[in-house]
Amino acid sequence: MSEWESFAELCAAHCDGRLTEDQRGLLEQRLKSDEAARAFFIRYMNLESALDGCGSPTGQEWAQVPQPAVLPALRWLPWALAASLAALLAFVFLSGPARDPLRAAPRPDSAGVALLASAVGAVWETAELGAGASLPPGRIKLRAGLVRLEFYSGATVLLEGPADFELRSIDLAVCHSGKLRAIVPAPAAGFTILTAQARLVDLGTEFGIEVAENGPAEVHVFDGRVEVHPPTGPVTPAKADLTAGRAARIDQAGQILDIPADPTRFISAPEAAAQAEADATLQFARWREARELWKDDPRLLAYFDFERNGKARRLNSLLRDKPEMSGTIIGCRWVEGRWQGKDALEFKHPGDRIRLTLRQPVAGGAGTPAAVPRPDSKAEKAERAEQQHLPALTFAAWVRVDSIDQPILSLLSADGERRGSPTWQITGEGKLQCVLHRLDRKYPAPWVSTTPPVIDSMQIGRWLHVALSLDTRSGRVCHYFNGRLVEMATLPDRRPLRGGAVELGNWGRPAAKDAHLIRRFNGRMDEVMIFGAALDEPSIQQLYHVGRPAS
Amino acid sequence: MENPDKKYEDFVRLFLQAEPGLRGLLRVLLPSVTDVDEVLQETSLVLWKKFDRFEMGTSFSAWASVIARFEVLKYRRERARDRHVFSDEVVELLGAQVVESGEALARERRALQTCLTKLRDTERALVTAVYTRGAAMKEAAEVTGRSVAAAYKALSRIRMALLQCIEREMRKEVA
Repeated sequence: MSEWESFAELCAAHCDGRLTEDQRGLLEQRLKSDEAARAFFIRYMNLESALDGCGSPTGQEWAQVPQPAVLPALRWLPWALAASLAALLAFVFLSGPARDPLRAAPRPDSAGVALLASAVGAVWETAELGAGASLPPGRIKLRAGLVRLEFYSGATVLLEGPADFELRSIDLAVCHSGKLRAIVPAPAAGFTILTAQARLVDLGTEFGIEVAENGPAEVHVFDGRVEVHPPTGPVTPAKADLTAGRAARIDQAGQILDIPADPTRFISAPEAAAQAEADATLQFARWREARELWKDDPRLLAYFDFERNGKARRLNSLLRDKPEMSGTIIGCRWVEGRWQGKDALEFKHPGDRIRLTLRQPVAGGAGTPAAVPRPDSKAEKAERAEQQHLPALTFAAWVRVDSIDQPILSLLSADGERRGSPTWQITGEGKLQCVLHRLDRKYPAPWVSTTPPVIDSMQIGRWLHVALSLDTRSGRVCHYFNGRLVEMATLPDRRPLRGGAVELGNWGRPAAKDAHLIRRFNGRMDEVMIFGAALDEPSIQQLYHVGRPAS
Repeated sequence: MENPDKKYEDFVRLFLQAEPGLRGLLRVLLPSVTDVDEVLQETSLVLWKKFDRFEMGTSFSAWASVIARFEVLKYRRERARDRHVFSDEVVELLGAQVVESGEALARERRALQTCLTKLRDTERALVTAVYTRGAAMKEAAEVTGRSVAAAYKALSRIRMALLQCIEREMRKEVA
């Protein structure tokens, strides 16, 4: 492809809108006369079109927007700029300038080297990471808490905060400071941890390391064997060979001193697992408390906590004064949700769905009989229609996507696609999408707002928080993914939104022959909130933080 | 008369499926993303108005591509004489060639997702900054700590690297 270098420059300038008149003439001439140049140009612009909209972070945990507490000013910047700035800051936090010898190694490409298997009470100094994240090479700093890193070589590291730890590759990491236990099964033998004073090569074993900031390091070997080498230079015969039950202190000069081994100073794998479980129980309890508070939010139209409570086929909204918003479960299966003991509904079959009616609460509130089947008077019909007009809406849900196996996975969709009725779905590329139908006669085509890809293969099978807000007064539509604003759009007009019959987790007729008519959601839902107002970003963040599962 | 709701449902479904391809086609033919947005909106209107004439079972995206190419020519005549749109002849040549290789181009767009993960962090930070909707190169250069000229250069190198990666991915697919 190198013969295209100079033509590629023309293409780049064309993309960036910085062609000179002469260059433009040159490009046009080339495209007119040379078929191969056209083919190259087409591929180049096809890439450009695919890149467009790839802007905000694509589920890259490294590029998460820092907490507002860290950078409150970001919220006031134009969104696009704030997001890129945040991505950059996250990057800067993690890499830092390459000063000390430990950082001299070139950074390989950023494909993941380890999985963040669990995080208990983790307080991050670097960008916040959630359990399930695939970590590329980079530095993580933990103020407190316990994280379990599973390297793709098979080695496990239990890192206790405060710690400053750097992942280099699947079998190499640097402990700048802090305490860790490494569990290295035989296939991962050779797993190496660097400290300022030593290179510790593991030969299929279990050992603990504690590195004081700018201080000596201690190595305790519980099982197997660890070789101690000088930190830099070629790997020479080991300076020391520690076997099970032995421990050593390595001072700043690299002198090795025998000390008594003390396995109790390092958390063990079963202890870590017990802590993770206790943490999950605590989180579940915290979510239940928060649920009681949210329940009283007057903006809520419906709140489904997906707790079964003995009822198999009815999904009850928690709002006692708005009972008309209960859902009917069709198909689906009761399964486990975000925590042990939390219920969820699973959507697998083409018929699986939950039906409900979306509308403004009936004036007068509690006790109004909801749906007594009898002929409607004209006035009642008008009243109903009025109730279906909504100035603003927010949907927020905890979902687990098990597979993106179709062009469209429906989260929530209106029956029959009436004018102004919203549809909320996930595309086959893992993008969140909002479709508004037939806004008016002049613009009958659907209005679509799509986020960059947010659900990638790493997110499959994990609990995710998704939210969408629509406000017809400001015209603003916002998409959120795991508490982060990922896309903003402006409505083409200010007409109210339409409620009416909607379905969660599916759309259309189950028997449809055309595969594209089936937009079955493949996965689980365990909490859905529908507000008759547009929630702002801090509120969505709060929903995410309080409901975030442990792993 | 066919059920109007059914007709609309069909249209929405077909249009959403064809949209990424149409966007790609228009990006080849038009100088900027803003032009693409405008012509795509026009195109969707024309498609809906003429949807009665579309024969179900035939290729919607082929039909939509013909209309989109026509809309580009119209756009150039009516509103964009001074906006650096290619000549009719080049639009025709490019348009025909895009339609021919539509399938391959769709596969290349999908392969991009894999290739993006292979970028270095610094490269991804720049891509993020540049392709976030509404961001100007000046801002992107500032937030990534580059001069504007250096950012253009880096971006152009990244695009080449991505093209090469996509080519490799496509070969893998064939193999």
